[in-house]
Amino acid sequence: MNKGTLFEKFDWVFLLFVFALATLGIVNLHSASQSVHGFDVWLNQLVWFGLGCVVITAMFFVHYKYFKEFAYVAFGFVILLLIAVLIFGTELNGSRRWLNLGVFSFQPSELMKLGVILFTARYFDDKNQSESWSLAQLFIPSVIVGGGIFLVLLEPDLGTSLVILAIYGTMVLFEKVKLTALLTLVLIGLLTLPFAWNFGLKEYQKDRVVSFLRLDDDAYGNSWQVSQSIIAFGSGRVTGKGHLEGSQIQKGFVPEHENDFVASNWGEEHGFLGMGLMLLLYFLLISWSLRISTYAKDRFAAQIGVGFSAMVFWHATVNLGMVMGLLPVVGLTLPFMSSGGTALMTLMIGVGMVFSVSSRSKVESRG
Amino acid sequence: MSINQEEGPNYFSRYLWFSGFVAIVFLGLWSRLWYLQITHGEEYGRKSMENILKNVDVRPSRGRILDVKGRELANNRPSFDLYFNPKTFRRKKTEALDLLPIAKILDLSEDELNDLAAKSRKKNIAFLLEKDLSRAQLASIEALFESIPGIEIRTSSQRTYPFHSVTAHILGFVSEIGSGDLKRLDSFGYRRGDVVGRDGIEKAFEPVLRGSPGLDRIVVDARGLEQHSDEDQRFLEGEFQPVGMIPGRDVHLTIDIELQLIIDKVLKDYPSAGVVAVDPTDGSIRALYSKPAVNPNAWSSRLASFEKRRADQDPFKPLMNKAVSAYFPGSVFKVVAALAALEEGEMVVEDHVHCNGGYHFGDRRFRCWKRSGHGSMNVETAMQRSCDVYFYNVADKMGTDAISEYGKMLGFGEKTGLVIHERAGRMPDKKWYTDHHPDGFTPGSALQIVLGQGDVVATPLQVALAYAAISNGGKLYAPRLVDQITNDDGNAQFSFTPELRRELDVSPKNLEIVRNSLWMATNQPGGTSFRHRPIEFEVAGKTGTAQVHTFGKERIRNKEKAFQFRDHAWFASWSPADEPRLALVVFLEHGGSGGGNAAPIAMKIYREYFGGNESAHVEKKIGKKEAEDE
Repeated sequence: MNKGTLFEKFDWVFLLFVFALATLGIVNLHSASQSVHGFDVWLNQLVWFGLGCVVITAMFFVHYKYFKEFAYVAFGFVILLLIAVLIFGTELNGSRRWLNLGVFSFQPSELMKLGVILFTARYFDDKNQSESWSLAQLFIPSVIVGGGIFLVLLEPDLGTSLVILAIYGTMVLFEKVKLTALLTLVLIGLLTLPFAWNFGLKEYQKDRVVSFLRLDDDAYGNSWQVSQSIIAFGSGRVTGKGHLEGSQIQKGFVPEHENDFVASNWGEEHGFLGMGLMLLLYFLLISWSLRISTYAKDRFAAQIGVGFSAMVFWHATVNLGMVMGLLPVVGLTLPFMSSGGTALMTLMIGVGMVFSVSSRSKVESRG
Repeated sequence: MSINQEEGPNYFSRYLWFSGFVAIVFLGLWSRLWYLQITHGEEYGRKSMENILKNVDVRPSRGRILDVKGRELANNRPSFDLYFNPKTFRRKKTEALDLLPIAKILDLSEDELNDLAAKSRKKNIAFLLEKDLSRAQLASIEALFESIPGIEIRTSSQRTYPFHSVTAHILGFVSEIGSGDLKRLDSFGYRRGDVVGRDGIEKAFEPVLRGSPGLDRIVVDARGLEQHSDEDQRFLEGEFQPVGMIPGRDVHLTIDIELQLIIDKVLKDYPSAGVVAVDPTDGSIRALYSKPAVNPNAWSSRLASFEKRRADQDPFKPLMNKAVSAYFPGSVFKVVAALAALEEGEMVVEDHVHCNGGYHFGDRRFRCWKRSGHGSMNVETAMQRSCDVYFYNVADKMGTDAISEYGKMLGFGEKTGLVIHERAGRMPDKKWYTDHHPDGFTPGSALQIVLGQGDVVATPLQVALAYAAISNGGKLYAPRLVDQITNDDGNAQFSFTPELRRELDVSPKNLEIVRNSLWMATNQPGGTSFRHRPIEFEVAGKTGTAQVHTFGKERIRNKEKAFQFRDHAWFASWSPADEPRLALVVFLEHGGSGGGNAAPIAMKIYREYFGGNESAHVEKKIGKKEAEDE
C-alpha cells in the first residue's frame, strides 16, 4: 500500500462532518463565554481543536494494526491512570477526576472510553467468532470492562461510567448475542437497580434523580439549572434569538453553560432549526463512522467505527436529554460543543482512529 | 487497494438497525424541541423575559427642611445596607459556618447566625440583614464579597438632622413604616422599608416632604444586578410606561437656626426649659426651643427602640415640647389683668392702691410676694414691680369672667394654630369652675387667676404671641412656622402668608400704658428685670415666678426644695422696646425666679442675637439690691 492510495481513500466526508460540528461548537462557545470570563474560552477551544487536528494527521499515517497490537497495553495503562487518580487525583466538588501532571491536568476517565473501545474491538477481533455469543463467553470481557467502569464510578463519575457501559453494550450488540444471554443481562440489570439506588448512588446523585422526577417543585433547588435550561430552549422558538442575543445564557441564568449545558445556548440563540442542524450533523457523523463496519476488513476495524459512533451517540443523547429535562442530570459533556481540552482531545483521538481505519479498509463491499 | 479477498465480518444489518435507532432517538429529541420551542415557545419566551425584567419602585427622595436663611435642618445621607441573596447562597450551598466572618463583623450571636442560615435556605428574595453599616463594617464586608457569594451592599437614604437635638421638637423624626401603618397607608403608595414622619414638621408635612414614588423597569442578570449597557436596553422596548418619580418638596421654616443655637447654648445650666421667639410684625416663629430633647438622628435609625426606652425613663421628659406645653404662667399673666382693668374702666392710670404686703378677701388674707409691701402703686408701677396687692384689688373688682374674657382675647386657653402639636392651655371662667372644679365656683378664684396661678395654665407660645400682640399695637397673629414650600428646582410652590387671628378690642391708649409699664419693669430702677437690662438696646418685659407647690405658710427658699417642687421661672418680653423686632418668652421649668433666672437668660439671648457674640457679658450691676425678685 503506497501513500497515493492512502490519500485516495481518505475520508473527506467524515472530515467535513468533524469540521462542521467543531465549527458549530466553537461559534457557540464564542457566544456562551462572551460575558463571563476574562479570557476567551472559544479561543482556548480553537487551540485544542488545532492540536487535535495534528493528532488526527499523525494517527492517519499509523496503520491501525498497531492500535490493535497495543490495545490491551493501552487499556492496562488507562486502568493504571485511573488507580493513580484515585490516589493522587485533585479533589474538586467532592470527586477525584483530575490528574495533575504539572504542565497540564486531564481526566483519565475520558481516556477510559477509548481504552474500552480498543480493548473490546481487540477482544472480538481475537475471538473472531461468527456464531452468537453466550453469556459465559461474554463473562471475561465484561468483567474486565466492568473493572474499568468500576474505577470510574469510584471517582465518582456516574455519567462517564454509564456512557462507557453504553459504548461497551453497543459494541457487544454489534456482535451476535444469544437471546437467552440478552434476556438474562436485562434481568440482572433490573434486579441490581434497587441495590444500586441504595448503595451505589451518592446523596447528590439521588437528589438529582428525585428533582428530575418532580421538576417544578423547587425551581430554585436542584432542578433550577434544568428549568432555566428549558426556558432557554423554549424561548429560542423557531429561529432563535440570534448569535450573542440569548438572554438566558448571556445573563447567567443557566449555570455550566460552557460545559454540560452548552446546548441550551445553541438552542436559545438558533432555535428549533439550529437544533435540527446540530442533530443532523451528529446523525451524519455517527452513521458515517458506523458505516465503516460495513466495509471493514476485520472485526477490529469495524468495531473501532462502532465504538466511536457509540461514544458520540450516547454522549449526545444523554447530554441533550439531560439539558432538555428528559433525563436526570448526570454530568456529561456534549461532543465537540462543550469546552474542555481532555474531552475534545479524546474525541479527536477517536476521530484519528476512525481515519486510520477507514483509509485502510476495502472499498464498499455492500450497499 | 487491498488484495486480501477475505470476507470481512457482516455488520450490514446491524449498521442499518443502529442507524435507524440513532435517527429515531434524535427525532425523539427533536420532537421534545418541537414541544419546547414551537408548542410552548411563546410561554418560555415570556418566562425568559420575566427573568431579566424587573419592575422597580423608584422611591422619592424625602424633601429637606430648611431654616429661614436656607440652612439645612433635615437632610438625607446615603446609608449602606447589607442584603443577602439566598438564591446565590443556595446554589453555592452556603452553610452557617461560611457566614461566620459576617457574624463577627456585625456582632451576631450564634442563634442569630443560625437563624440567618435557615432564612437563606428558605427565602427566595434578597433580604435586609443590617441597615446603615459603619465605615469600618462596610470595608470589612466588601473584603468578603469574593469568599461569600450572595452578600450585597445596597444604598438607601437615611434621614439626618445636622443640629441634632436642638431642632428635635420642631422637626420630629422619621421611622420605618410598621405593619399597622402599612395597612392604612398602602393605598398611598407606601411600601415596606419606607419611612414616615412621626412627629413635628416631619409628621405635619409628610405628604409634602415625601413626594410621590415612581415605577420603572430595569434589566437584571441572574444575580439580580442591574444591567446598564445600551444593548440591554432593547429588552425594555414595548408597552411598558414608566411612572415618573416626584421628589419630596423642601419645607422652609421661619426658624432661625442661629437663634435656636444661641438659646441652646445659653440654657446650658438649666435642665428643663422652653423658649419661644416670635417676630411681632407677622407672627413668624424664629425659635421654638424645648429642653431636654432626644437626638432625632438616633430616633430615625436602628437604635430607635433603645432610644425610646431611654427617653421614657428620663425624669426631665425629653419627649415633651415645653414650648407648647401648658404651665402656670405666674406674673407674666398680669398684663391680662392690667389691660382688662384699664379697658373696663375699673382702674385708670391715676388710681392708686396701697400695698402693705397683703389683701383681705372675705376671711382670707392674700399675700403680696413682698412681705413688707410696695406702698402706693398705680397700674404702671404695679406692673413694673409686679405688686400682687394691686392686682388683688383689680380681681376683686372685676371678677373671674372679666379677667377670663380678656385672657381669651389675648389667646389664652385656645390653640394658637401651630402646624405641629400644641396644647391649648386653660383660661377658666365661672362656667368652667361650675362644670369642672371639685369645689365649684368660688369668688376667690379671681384672685388666683389674676396672678397666673390657680387654674390658669398657658404655653410659652401663647404668652409669646400675646406679648407680641401687645407690642405691635394689638394684632394677635397665628404662629407662622412654615415660610414656604419649594420643589426640587427651588421654585416656590406655596407660600404661607401671615395670618391675623384678631385685632385686640382695646384702645391704643391703654395698650400704650401696658407697654410703658413693661418698659419700666426693665428700664426703670425698681423694675423686676431692671438689673439685667442690656445697654445696647431696650427690652420691655415682665418676669414671672409661678409657684408649683405651697409648703404651708412657711416660705422655703427655692434652692432647698426638691427639683420638682421648685418654682417655674418666666420672662416674657420684646425688643427693641419702641420698635419690636422679636418677642421672646423664656420659660424655665422649676428654674427658680423670673427676675433671677429667666430674665438674665432672655437678656443673653437678645444680646447674642442682636449684637453677635462680640458684645459679651454686659451685666448692669446697678439696682442689684433693689430687685430682690418678686
